[in-house]
Amino acid sequence: MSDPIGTTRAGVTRRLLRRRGSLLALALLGAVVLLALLAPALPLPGYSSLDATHAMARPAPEWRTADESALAQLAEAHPAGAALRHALFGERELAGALGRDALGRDVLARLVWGSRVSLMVGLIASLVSVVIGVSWGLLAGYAGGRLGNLMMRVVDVLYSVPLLFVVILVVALLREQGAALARFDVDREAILYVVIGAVSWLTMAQVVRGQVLSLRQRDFVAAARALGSSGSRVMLRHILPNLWGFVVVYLTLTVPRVILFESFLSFLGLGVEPPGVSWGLLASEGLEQLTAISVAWWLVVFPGLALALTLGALNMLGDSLRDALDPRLAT
Amino acid sequence: MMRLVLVRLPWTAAILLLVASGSFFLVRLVPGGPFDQEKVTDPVIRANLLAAYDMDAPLGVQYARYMRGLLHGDFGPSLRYRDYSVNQIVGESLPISLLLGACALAVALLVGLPAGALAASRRASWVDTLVMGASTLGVALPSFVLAGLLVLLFVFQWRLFPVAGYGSPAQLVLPAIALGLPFAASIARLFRAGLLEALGEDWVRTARAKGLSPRGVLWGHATRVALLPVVSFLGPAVAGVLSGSLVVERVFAIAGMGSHFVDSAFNADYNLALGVVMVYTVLVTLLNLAVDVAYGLLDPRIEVGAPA
Repeated sequence: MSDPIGTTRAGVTRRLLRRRGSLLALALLGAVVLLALLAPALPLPGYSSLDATHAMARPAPEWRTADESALAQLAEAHPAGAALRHALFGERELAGALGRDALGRDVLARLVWGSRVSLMVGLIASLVSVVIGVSWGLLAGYAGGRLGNLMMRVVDVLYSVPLLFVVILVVALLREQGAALARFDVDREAILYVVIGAVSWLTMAQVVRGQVLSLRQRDFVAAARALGSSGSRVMLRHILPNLWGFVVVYLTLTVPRVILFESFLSFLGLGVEPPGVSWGLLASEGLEQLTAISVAWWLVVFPGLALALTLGALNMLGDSLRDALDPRLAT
Repeated sequence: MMRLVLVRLPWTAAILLLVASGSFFLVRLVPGGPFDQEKVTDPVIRANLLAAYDMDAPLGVQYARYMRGLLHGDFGPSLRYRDYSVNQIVGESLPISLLLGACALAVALLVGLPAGALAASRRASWVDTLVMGASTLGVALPSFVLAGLLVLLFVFQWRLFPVAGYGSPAQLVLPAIALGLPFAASIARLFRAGLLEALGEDWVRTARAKGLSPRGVLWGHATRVALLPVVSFLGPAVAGVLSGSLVVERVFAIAGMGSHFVDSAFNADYNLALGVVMVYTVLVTLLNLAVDVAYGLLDPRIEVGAPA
């Protein structure tokens, strides 16, 4: 088959890499992912280690000997990471590089550990949204007719529901039931991730359905049908593989949305709970510390910067990916 | 246009009914209620409270009563603020949130449209690069991050604005910017893309060939078409501004509907929470309808009311 607009993998990669912005975004995201993965191995103070003598210290990097009890704690929680850290940096650590908060905790360490929550929610919630959205769109598109229309009407209705409000309501009510949930051994954070994903699949469903509607008119589907393939086989073996490009694009655009969603909830005090950290929580703690007496700008600027740059990079990557995959949509 | 409104009205009513029923059963079915706090309430008092707030009846009866109240525009009493009805609280806080939202939308349009037009008219220059770069970052900027940076700069560094509160126009400036600027970024991108696409059309070449100045073409002909994507973005933008005001009202200690909603969720104040959800749903659906009407007026070729 000829490929006039270059939707081959090579063509997409070439167009993607031609944009300087997307290279920059990729590099930035790679760095964030790497830091998050290597968090236990980095020579940083514990993210919840208190240090009253340095409370609200300005950013002033100090290469010092690490606290032994903090190291022991780390070794217990993350043995492999702690071993790697010991091999690379010994007992030394970088403290106070981005300042300290009101309890003397290291802002850089909290940012690095907080990134794990943001990336995790980005991963889990968007996977949940992909599973729901793709199945819904695929079914609605392939079933067509009344059922398909009904399914898309459901999506339309859900679009009109203020889902953010509903999620806040549910999460707040579930918070009260912490003890009840603990009995079922359900992790509150995991529920949060799944709930966020479960309300973020609408656009995916619409996009997939549109694609399915156009794909099912194509000759290869008719051919597969003529050869006696069942409906489910056509869907899974012939249509689904052709959807991945679009799915990847909208997945890239879903990730920043769900990360933002989590930070929004954490900011309101409904997401990650102390002693856990997430970027939204850090941003809200920073704002609380802003008083006329002490202007701890580092508590506001660095979490905000981390969020803005990561989300910006993800958006930019998603946009360039969309343009690269389908140049007709390019803006 | 009347036809569009008529076609959409039953649809809107169905959505409202669904949202009301869905959220009603959601809050009632989640375990734990407004009177189940850490402090153990005496069973007699608890029973009296449930009876006073009409929560001891079977669920179906409660639902029927709640729905009847809604039809009469009555959201019931607040379960937390004694002697306050939800209508009173909404009546006091809705104007505040609406004013804030309107100012934020004004910021979004007043910054976004000129920026988009500037970028489109100086395409591929450094102005274009700058506007597009800033908007890429701006689209992603969470409103609470922006709010923090604004407070840091304009309250603590230069002491231009009061830190928080509500009442004077000066107190509205920072919240409106924090809420509106991310949407200005989207509007700038959409308007620029729309203008560039319009400027490539045949009828623009015709207008130029007839001797119209580039500026005349841009403002007289291209703008009208380029506004279409911006107008259709206004629906989601309004919804976004309203939900963004949840955190912005909190940051700036504004007693709008957003603050009340977050508090009511924390306090399991069902009636207040449901009331706010309903008011937001009505607002968003009505504004979406208004956007569709405006769309039809801008581009008579589009028949929005037609079944999809």
